[in-house]
Amino acid sequence: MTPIRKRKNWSEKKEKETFRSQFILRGARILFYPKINSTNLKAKEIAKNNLSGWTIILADSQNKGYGKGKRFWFSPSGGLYFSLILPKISLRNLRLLTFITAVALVKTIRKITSLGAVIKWPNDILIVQDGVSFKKIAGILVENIIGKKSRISIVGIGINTNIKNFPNYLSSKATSVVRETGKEVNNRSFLNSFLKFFKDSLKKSNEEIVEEYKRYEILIGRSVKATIQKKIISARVWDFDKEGAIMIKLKGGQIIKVLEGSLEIS
Amino acid sequence: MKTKIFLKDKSYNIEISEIKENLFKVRVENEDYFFSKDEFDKLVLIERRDYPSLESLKGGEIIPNLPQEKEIKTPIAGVVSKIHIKEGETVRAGQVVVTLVAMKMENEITSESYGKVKRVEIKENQFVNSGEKLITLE
Repeated sequence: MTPIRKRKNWSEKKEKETFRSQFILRGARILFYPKINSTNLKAKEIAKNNLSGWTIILADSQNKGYGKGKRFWFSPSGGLYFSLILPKISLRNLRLLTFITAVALVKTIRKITSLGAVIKWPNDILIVQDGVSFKKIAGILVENIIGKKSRISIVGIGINTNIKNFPNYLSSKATSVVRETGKEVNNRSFLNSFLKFFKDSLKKSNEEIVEEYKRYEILIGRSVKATIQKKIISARVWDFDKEGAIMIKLKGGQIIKVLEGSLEIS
Repeated sequence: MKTKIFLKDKSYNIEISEIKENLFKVRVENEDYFFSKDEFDKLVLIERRDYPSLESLKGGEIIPNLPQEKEIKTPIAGVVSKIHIKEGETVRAGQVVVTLVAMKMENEITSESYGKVKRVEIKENQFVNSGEKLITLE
């Protein structure tokens, strides 16, 4: 391989993924990449290195950001994208990690902006539009690697903070802090505040976490169409159990527990 | 690779070899020690009592009988979204065997043992409770 070729490859790689700096925030080691494929993918790669404390992969933009089911997550510069690597997390916290994260995100948005952010079970953070419809402002994707003795959680978060414009296919479903309030926010302050709320929640009991989650959750008490294992069921959302499952009441009065599926307001 | 080390005025002959993918042998004088990498690429010592079975298997599939359990169970409930291994295949410590989805969390369940898959106990899209058996190893 000639030196020129080497240089070309190096710059191509650099364009896709650029590590710039690291710093400490609330006891977590933050690795900052202006551009990255996906913070969750990088976190999974780094998590293999037997980390001892919290590490966060932070990026200004992602070109392959993804959510549930590997669905593309629009991640241009302006938004806040990070993945938190939690080595040796307890099983109790692991089960409710999406709940803990959702509550910390809603509290952060409410504290830093004037927006009344809410949660749609299990992992969507929404902003109410005209009192009736909702637009997504943030998303969560938790990926766990679980062995008998080892457990690592990766909490991936994308928040539409300072994104001014969305492509047509998203404009009816997504919004951002700047679009809602007209004001930009400081992404680092946002991350700092999130970490504080997240750490506080980890110390709480399952019951406390679920109670807090229910305060911000919008499906509870509503009639929904639930898609469970490809079947569509009409039901009313009844409650959440202490492991994070949603309980829905069917028309016949029977209450069933749902751990996986999608629910839409009917 | 062969080398010699000195510890407190005593010398030891050391020989390190990779006898199979992810199975390393370290011979110290005439004693053999076996190691396998876990999911963090960290070398983990394989139990001493299993050495004879390792030594007698030459050429064929070397499956050390690890002291770990022969069952892979899930500590978390969820729906099986992907089974990554088939019956008859060998798995190494740290390998992802099943992905479970619950509350939009993707949980990659890994094997703690190096072994051959005897039976896959679950099917894709099946709901499993925490503590349920997913895989039986030989």
